[in-house]
Amino acid sequence: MEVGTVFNTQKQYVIFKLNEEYYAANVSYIVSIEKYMPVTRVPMARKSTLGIINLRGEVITIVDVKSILGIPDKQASGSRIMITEISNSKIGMVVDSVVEVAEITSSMMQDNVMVFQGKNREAITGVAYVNDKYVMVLDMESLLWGDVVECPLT
Amino acid sequence: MDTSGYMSLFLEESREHLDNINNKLLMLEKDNQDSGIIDDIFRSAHTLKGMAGTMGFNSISSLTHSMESVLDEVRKNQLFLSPLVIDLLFQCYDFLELCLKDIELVGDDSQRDPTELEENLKQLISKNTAKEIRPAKSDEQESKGVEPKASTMELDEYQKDIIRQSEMQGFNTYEIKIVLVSDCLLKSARAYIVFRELETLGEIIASRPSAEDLEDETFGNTFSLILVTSSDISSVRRVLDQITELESIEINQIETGSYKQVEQDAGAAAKENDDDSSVKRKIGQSIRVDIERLDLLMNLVSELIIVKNRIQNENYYRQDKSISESVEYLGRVTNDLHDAVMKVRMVPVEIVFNRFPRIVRSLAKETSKSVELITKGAGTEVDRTIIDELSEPLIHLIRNSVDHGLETPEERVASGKPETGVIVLNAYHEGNNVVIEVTDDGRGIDTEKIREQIIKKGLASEEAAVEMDESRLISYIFNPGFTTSESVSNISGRGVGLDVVKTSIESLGGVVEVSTASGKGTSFHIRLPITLSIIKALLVKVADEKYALPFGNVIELMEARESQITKLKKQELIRFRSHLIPVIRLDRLLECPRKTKNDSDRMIMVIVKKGDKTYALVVDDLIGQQEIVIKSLGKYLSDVQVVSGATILGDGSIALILDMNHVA
Repeated sequence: MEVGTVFNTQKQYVIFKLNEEYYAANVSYIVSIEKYMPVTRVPMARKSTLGIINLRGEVITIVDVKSILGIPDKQASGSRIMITEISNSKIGMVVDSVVEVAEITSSMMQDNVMVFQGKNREAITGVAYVNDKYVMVLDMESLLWGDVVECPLT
Repeated sequence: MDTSGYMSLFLEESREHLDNINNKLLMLEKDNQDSGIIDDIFRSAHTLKGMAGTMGFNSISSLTHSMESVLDEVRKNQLFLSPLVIDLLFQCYDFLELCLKDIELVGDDSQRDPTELEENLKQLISKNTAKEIRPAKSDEQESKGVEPKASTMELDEYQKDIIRQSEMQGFNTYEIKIVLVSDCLLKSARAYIVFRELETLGEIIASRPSAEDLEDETFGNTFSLILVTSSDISSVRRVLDQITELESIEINQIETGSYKQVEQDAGAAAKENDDDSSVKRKIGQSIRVDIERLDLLMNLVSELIIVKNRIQNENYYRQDKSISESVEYLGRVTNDLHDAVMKVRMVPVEIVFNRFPRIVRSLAKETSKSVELITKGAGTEVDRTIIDELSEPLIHLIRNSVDHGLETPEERVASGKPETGVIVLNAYHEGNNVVIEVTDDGRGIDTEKIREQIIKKGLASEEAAVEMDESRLISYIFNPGFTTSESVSNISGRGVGLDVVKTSIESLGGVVEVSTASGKGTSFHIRLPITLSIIKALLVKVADEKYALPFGNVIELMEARESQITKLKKQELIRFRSHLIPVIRLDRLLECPRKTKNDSDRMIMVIVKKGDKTYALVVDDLIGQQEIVIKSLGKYLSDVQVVSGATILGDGSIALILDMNHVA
């Protein structure tokens, strides 16, 4: 079989919006996309943690990706929660909207475009040009678990 | 062969066999005359060898093979079981344990080289001098047997053991060879009659072909069996003579001495039979269940309880008598179901305790102290999840007791105590808790030394330290890095031990307490909840948030007025049963956002107890008590200590469970 003909999940990305910017997360990390629901606050948690939700009997931590990336929160509240799963640990991230699922190949990566703003730079692996827009491709593991001591990956 | 699917089974069973070897070795150390124990070790080593061989773990299989050779010599009375031999066997055990750990971590035991141990084992056999040979039993038995004959059947260790034991009790063992007439129609029925008749006289411990083959009629005209009986040859013959269609009957008395030759001839084959016999031996009716399946079952029961709570909170059912009865019945059944599932998950603390004689033994050797370990209540059952976490803290405490607690034999004799120090490990249930105590009869904790250290390390001002009472001083031993030991030994003394004990016990929702008497000893009490997954809790409201307080901590609810609170050095206090106890305002502690200011003068306080300390928690409202299912907050929030978990309430909302150990 030729390579290009295979439906390659490795290259499938969920593209979502934070403020006016587009971001991409590899589909292999995404379990489901839920409507925004009220979050129960957890006291004394780190700043980027919004709290926990009860998702069909499962308690899931919800994080504020904007706060992790250090970008301002322009919208009042996100509209969707993307549930991610890494090494059996689920985390939900609040996003403003989910745009599409698209394939991102290495040829789409824009080497000359740099991201300057915000923190946790290493969580953004690069910028791709997908369907007439620039999309920041995220390294989900470092984005969500980068500063967590008890990381499930170690 | 792909063996990955068997890995967990292998690890689990190997561990069981290793435990067995360990226990039996310890027993041997006390009584080295019991051949049953040696057989038991032999069997475990043999099974390990077989399993490891199948899985391709060559270090284990090769070492167990060498162990077998030595054990075999011992069993045949050709090698005296000296402390040296036992020590070497213990070393083998250690090695095997390390191998297992390797396999668990990296899936391979090839990193470990058993050659040295194997050489030592081989030397034992070759060094084996005439002096060390125990008087062979067969000498005296030679005269007893009428016409002892070597058995032609290959027997496994278990069967030989039975023969040996029955011989000692004065039973006769006969090998009976029966040839059926050539035109016998129902061979298996005939064989069955023979078996049945013989079983009226004694026990048939082996047959060839096997009982299954006899039943299936997959044999020729001949079969042999071994009968252990109190009757003599003639009465056996009389019984057999009454059965028709038997062409010939041959009865020979046999005895164990004669097995030695057979065993050597048929060595390999006889050993193969081992596995079959261990299957046949039933050790109680039990099955092995993957812990994950139990967890799944537990989760389902938890969900059921949530639904039950939801129904019970609905009001409409109260109007209809039959519905309300059903709902109540449902409640009872779910509670029973919960109890039953909990019981399934319960395991005796024995599993952990069993490791300690060995640890104490080696610690005693290292410190050249004489130590006796007494375990009590090993059958006390605890939830599986707790057992797994329990062993580390207990090992710390035991190390601590041996190294710091107990004196050297000379010191003990000088202070008029018996030379051997005693460590008592005791487990028992107390209400909804399980208590485990580690008590030694050593020198006790020197509180003055602690005081010195506190001042020296600047943990408190000199004036404060001088004022501290004993219990306050003792509480310092749980501080990280705190040690009164002058020297750091390789066992303990770095001061890391007790603080690890404290944190791990507290993370399980338990408490550690110490009591000590100078010169008499020290006792550590660990108190743990029996289960971790479902608890009774008091639900409260703080601002607009719901929190659950574990019922075990709650002593009393009370109403108070702002004016009853007194202030002492910024700490708010309130009088409770003639004591002044600290007041903790949960809304401030938990930084709850408050939309409207609560300006009522009346306050609701929940009096909670943590260890021997009491606090008054200020809450906004009481919701009620409920059985709640504890759900972990997950790894992402593992640094949040004040909340130990979350629970889903009947309406789907979440209440956070407060961890009393970290509230105050």
